Amino acid sequence: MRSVTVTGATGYVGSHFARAARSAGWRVVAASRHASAHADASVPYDLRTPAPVLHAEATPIVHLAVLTDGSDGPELEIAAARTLLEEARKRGTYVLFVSSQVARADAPTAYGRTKHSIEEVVLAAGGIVVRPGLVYGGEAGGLYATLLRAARRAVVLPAIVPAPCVQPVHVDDLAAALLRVLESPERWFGRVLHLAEPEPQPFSAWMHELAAAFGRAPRRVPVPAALVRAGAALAAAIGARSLADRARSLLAIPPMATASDLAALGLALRSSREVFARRAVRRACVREGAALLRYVLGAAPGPALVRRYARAIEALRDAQPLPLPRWGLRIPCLLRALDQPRLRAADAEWQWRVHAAAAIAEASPQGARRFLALAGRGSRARRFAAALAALPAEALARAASLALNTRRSRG
Amino acid sequence: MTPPDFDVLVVGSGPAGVAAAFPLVEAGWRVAMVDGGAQPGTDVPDGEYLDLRATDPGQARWLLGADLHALRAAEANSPKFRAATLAFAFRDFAAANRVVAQRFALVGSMAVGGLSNAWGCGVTRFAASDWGDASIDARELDAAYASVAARVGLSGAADDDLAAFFGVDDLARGAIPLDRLHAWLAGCYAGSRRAAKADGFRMGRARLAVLAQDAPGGRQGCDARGLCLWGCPRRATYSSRHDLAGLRRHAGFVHLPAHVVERLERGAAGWLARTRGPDGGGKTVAARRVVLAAGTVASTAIAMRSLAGFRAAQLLHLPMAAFALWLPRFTGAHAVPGPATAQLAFTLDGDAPQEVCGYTFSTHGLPMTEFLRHAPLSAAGAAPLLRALLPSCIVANCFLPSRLTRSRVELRDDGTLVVTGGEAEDAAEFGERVRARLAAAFAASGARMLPGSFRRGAAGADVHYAGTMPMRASPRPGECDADGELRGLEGVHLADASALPTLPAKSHTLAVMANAHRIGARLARRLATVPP
Repeated sequence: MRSVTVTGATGYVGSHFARAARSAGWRVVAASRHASAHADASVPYDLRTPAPVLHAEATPIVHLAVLTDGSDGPELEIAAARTLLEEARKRGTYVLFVSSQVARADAPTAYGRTKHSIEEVVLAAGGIVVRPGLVYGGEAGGLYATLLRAARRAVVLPAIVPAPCVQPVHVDDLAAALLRVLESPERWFGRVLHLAEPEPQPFSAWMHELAAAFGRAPRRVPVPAALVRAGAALAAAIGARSLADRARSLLAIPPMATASDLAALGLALRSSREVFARRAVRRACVREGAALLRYVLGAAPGPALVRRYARAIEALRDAQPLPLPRWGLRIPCLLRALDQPRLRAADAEWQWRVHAAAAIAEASPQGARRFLALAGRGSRARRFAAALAALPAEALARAASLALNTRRSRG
Repeated sequence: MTPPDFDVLVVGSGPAGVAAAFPLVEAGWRVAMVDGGAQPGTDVPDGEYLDLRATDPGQARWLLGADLHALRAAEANSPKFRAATLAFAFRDFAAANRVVAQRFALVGSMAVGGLSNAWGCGVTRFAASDWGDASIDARELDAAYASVAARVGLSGAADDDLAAFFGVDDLARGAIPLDRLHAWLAGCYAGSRRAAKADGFRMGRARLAVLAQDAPGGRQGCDARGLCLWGCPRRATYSSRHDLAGLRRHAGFVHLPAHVVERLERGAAGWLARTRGPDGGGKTVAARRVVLAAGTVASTAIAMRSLAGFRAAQLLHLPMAAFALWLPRFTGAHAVPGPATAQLAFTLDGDAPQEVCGYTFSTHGLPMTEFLRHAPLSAAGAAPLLRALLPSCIVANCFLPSRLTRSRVELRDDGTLVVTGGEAEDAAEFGERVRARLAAAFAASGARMLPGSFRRGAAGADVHYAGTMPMRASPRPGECDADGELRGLEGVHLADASALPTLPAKSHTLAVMANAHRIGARLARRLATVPP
């Protein structure tokens, strides 16, 4: 069985890579400070005390570990890389170092310069260097987690002028690419591979798509790049050096030609725009399902029902969420006004959705309690009362629907 | 000259095909049976309906289907077509048989056992007049009824006003107990029957192909678990799929599933059927004679493609209606376990006696969503109302006379069969009269027809298709004789409902099975008189 040792296996890229490697039939040895849930075996490994990775197997080493707090100098990381390379040499194997798009000798940040130094050491020893673009997707981690947090929280998002550009790569695509390299490493010894979407795109636009994928639409506020640099300096001053460093690197990303490397690997990357658009749609379907199911059940639906509804819309309705009014999504019981027979009959798609929500809601013990007069659940009098109590609300909804109908026909 | 592989090829493993095959294999003939080969995909759960609904966290698997079958079939005409466990019985029929439908809700089956996997199990014996002028030996037919009934297992015999209409009480066991609503309704009817009969309305027990008690061979009697809509896991309801084991016990029987017959060609000593098998592969099956029992539409397609000049025919079927009845005294009651098959039956005299026939069912055992979609209220308003109302309601279907239909089948030059639905001008008016009379008749028995609930079904939704190649005393090409032998295709016999000379408003499956058995028995004798 093929084996691979992964440093930083519990990190963002590391955990996705370990999972992908295992499902592709690799035996994964995690070399990290914490045990990995996605590895077949774990050996302790710490960049600060880079003792050799002690195990007897001659496996390639995918080097993903990185010092995240930025408080130590680059020397530790470079020394750790040297130790790994020496170990690989002794065992007749090699190191695949996952670097960064910002790696440059004259990078404005220590992060970029350190990456560059390690690259040089690795290449000199005949190893392989992979420079990914902005890694995103999957279970959030690393820089992506920071950006995602910002996108989900922010009321405003800075649109930096002049616009810095990013080249995203999905974390699963990166994992797949690393596996391709491991399949035939001899083609890549001593070389640098560039992995990201070939077209650079404005960072702020990308952030907006990310925010939209999570149902947010923050306002864009133009911010001069100089201000960001100042902000980063401030962040550095108050101790958030790594983050500050990365923010600064973002402003200075050199465009990266990736098409030829992608072609050589035989890999087509998913586009972040499509990934985010799909997620946004999924989210809208889930939202619609949560509202409609709540409406027909008269209570909060179980999460499995909401997932099933979203799946139904994706599978049977071309993944098209309905343009429901915001008040209906917020207070689902108000949907009753739209669900009056006349309005329903005029809109076959709306009718289908209500029916689907009812059918999905019913097919559960929760739905059975709502829809069936089960023995031992409520008395005859209570069922009577519930049926009668439903009528005034229905009359109100009928009146509201008439008003809606008039407004529509006028409009 | 090489002798054919088989004495008889039976096309179709539905009730007709199986009924025709038994006397043939029992006489020692070599019989091949081909069918569409579809088998159940989703299991029917084991348990009682209400209990499963209250407790089964995985009920979406059979209520909706893993592929959301119930939503895919949201527009279909009957709850049956939405039952995920029955999806296999209806899938792919039109495409596989190259049939297209216009203004007609075409239903057919590619399943082993055909539509008997999903039927309502109503059984009647046809009256002598229902066989038209075809000279059918009454004693042979009676013997066939007895033989078929013994295998199928009938229940519902009762000394009531429909005993003569159903005509099967000599072959049937007693009935499965009525639920409390039906018991009350039957009691009310008993009190007012003299007046009802004077108005041409009769009510009695439904006679069904449902086992009341366990039978040898592993089928178990009905225990009123209420899962009838999904297919009985006890096999209490008859499906010819379960009869294949009995046929396989005979050395001369071969079952070729997943083979579709396109047309028949004359062979050196009989007929050749070229089939389309799985993965586009096919077979040529040679047999001395062929029994077509693929269901009226599929059998007609095969016959028309094989018989030059036979391009068009009438298609008889039964217009259908459905309605709901409310028994006010049970309003607010909780749902009780019970059978979901037909419980009571009724007939209505029209121009002719007992021209309309119908069955009543519990609302229990149907998803509430089936009612919600028709309610003139919002879903949120209808849900608590229906919850309080449905346990006091029963639903009914009724079959109207086939003379109200004007549907046709026609073969195109490319071999596609086109089924075109149509109805007589007075069909709607007739339906309205039936509605009013039934409403009055049930009101006299204490049940109110829910306003707006009476709905006529789309043409074809009844799935009682018949009469494209009727048996006649002197058949013309495209018609058949009393042996079901098609004029123009000698040696090809029709054993399914395509050979019925008339289609009375009755459940016709048992009559078709008896006729198929009779034809099979006659064939068994005729084969013996001619050397192979």
